Amino acid sequence: MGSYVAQRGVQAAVLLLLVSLVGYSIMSLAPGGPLAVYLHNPHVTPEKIDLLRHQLGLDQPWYLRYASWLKGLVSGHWGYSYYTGRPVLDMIGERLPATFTLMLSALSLAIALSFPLGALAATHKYSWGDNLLSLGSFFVWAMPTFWFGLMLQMALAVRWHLLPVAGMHEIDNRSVGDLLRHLTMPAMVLGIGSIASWSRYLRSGMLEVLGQDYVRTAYAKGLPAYRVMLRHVLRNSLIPIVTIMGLDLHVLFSGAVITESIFAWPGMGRLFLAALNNRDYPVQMAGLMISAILLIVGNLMADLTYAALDPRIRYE
Amino acid sequence: MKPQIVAVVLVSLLVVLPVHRTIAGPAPGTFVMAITDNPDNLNPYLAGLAASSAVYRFAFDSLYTINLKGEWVPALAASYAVSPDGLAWTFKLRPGVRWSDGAPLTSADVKFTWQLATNKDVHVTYATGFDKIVSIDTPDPLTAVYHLKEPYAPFRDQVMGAALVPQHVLGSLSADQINRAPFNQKPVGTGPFYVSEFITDDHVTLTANPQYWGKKAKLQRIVVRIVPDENAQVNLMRAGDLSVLSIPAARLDEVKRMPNITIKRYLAPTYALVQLDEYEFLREAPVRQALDYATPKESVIRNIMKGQAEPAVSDLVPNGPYANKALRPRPYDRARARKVLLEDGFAPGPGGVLYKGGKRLEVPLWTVSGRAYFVQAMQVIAQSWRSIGVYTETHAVSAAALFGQNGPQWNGKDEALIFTWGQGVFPENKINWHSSFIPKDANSPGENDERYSNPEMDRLLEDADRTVDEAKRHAIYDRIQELEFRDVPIIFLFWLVNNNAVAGIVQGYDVTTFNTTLPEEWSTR
Repeated sequence: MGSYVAQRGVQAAVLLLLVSLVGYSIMSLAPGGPLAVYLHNPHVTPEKIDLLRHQLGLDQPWYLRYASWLKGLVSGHWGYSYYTGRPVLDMIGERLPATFTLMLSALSLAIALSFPLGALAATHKYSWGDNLLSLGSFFVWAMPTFWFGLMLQMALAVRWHLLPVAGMHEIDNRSVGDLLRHLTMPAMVLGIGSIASWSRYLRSGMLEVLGQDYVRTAYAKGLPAYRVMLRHVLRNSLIPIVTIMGLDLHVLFSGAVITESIFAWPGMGRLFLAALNNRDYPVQMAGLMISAILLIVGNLMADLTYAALDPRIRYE
Repeated sequence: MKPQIVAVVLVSLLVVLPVHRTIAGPAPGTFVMAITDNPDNLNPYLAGLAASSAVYRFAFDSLYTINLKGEWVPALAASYAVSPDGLAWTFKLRPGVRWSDGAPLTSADVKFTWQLATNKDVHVTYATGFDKIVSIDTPDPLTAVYHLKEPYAPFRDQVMGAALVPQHVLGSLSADQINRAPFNQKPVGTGPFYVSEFITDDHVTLTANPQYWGKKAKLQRIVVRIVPDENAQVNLMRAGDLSVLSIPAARLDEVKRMPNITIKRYLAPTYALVQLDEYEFLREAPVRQALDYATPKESVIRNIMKGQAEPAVSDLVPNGPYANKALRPRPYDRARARKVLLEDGFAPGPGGVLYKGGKRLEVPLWTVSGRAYFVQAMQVIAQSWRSIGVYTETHAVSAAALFGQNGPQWNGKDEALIFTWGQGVFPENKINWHSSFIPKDANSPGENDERYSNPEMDRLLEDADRTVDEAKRHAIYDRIQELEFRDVPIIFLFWLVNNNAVAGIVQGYDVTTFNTTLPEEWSTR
């Protein structure tokens, strides 16, 4: 197992290097550049733009800039944002609490709801509950995140005043209760897609296992239904859903742009979106690398979980 | 009835039934506003985004400032005098002014501001006019004398109205340290409020400055929330979380119906334009005039802007002191547009498109994606241009792609770009129309991106900058605007109208094209 993880680690490092090279070159070749935002500002004179170009090192060819960026990355210095002049690591660091809070809440919500819902749907196949759940899942898949977010806002915050509209805290209120109130809607919006898809995967996985001989045997032995479900059915239906969860990890982390924008949540997604729009290369590259690392880690974790779930899978 | 049907009916009723509850609004003494972008830098000379000036304006003062009517009134300076040759501007500072950290404001700060703005190693984004200064004398702590290279009429708008920054905080730092100073997030200023908290992408809190030289602020603080989504901003206003908000035209009617909200409508000093990049056919004035005739501005204002815009004839705000009131927009007249083109030697060719010298009259339209009204206006204009025989494709791309170095402006072909430009109230038009500001290639500086060149315009612009006499300068600008109108270097589409929703609990707040009322006069019940 240890050697397997080490081997995957080396693969990941090579992959990350390739991702960074391709990412950096595409970014540099894309139309526009970090100074375009100033070109649109009547107060910024052309001489200033020229000077800024030189100060930011943008008059060098992209491969030289890439080399110095890579050197910084390896030595733990991720450079300074072109726009705020602040260290990129600081900017990411201050987003981590908000990002983790939102991601872990959405993740917990998704796990807490999708498993029971999926299991219930499988055990009560074609009941009205199952049908309602199917309808709900397809509805969730079909609706755009921004629309759902705004509708929730209109209903729960504007109309009924049950929850705050947006933000992470009330002014002057740093209590946990206040944080939870602000967290509810964004976590729901971010988690609901996962709830819909994971519960569908679990349902179909369990339906397949439910028809197996060993399940009938377990019932025949006189095992109570909940034990059959938990030990024989649920565990054996987890492989596909673990794959999906591994792939979803980086989406929850860096793909929360729309949710963060609508609910003014100060997370990582907005930082990277702004960097993308402004062509703030150092921040943009940091976002790309973090997203790539999470995707690789998520996959590795999924692969390792397979072995824990299915004793037949062994990694040498 | 089945339980599930009962559930569905109950949920539907909850959604449909109106809920009446009083809106609490922000706490008394707290004024809450919303901006879309995270401020990039709160040092006025290093900031690149409008979001930054929306915040630092509360924390900094200038020597003189503009009131609601667009007139200059004293702020940090008590008075000023100009030498007869226009080369020396002497300012007497207001005594007793302190920075928010308690240090006194002196003429050394005035001198340092100029040194900062012209420091080549600092990432300065705003320094127009400061390059005209040769030296600043500080004979005593309350007197500062600017010496200029040449008479410079926009001095007041560019330098006198610019923020002063503290020498005692930044003066001992190297350029690199200034670029990365904590000051850029938590600046020290002389304004009625100071930045007490800045949580990136969340909010900035400005607390009333106890050292303030003017009237003590009625508010305890101003909270500027950073909310990227416009609809979420309107929802915040509707939930009573904001004191004031600029309302997008699409949601104006809905907000107008809300109780306890007043709408302040004002003309913004920002105009929408079609920039005509003069490379081939667009170098001919008749072609540009024809495109102006074929641009349905009234229809765009009425149907796309929902009336929240006003016609534009030049780049000077129509209710401002320099607007040429004699000019009227060209009427929308496609027959006339086509006639102008035919007289210019164009003839219909394949597909009804006009040709001259075997070349097709091709003017693609470009705009920034993401702002619906730009994209809609582009389609309407393209439709009309096509109908007079211009071959027009449309493209909506990101701002970085539109204005950046591989963008359409640099391909050497005729192109038309739709965007907005904040000219401000006072003219400094040289960078826009003077031929020396035509960029030579994508990497060279220059703001005259349309590549307009006219010797008379060049001469007028140089004279305007040198003419300190107000009446003569007005006359020159009248003529400059006549040329803008005659030659159509760009098509002026319209001036934007802003609608600020103000919560009923707010008092003392007003806004015009030129400024808001003083923030220290704002209050909430």
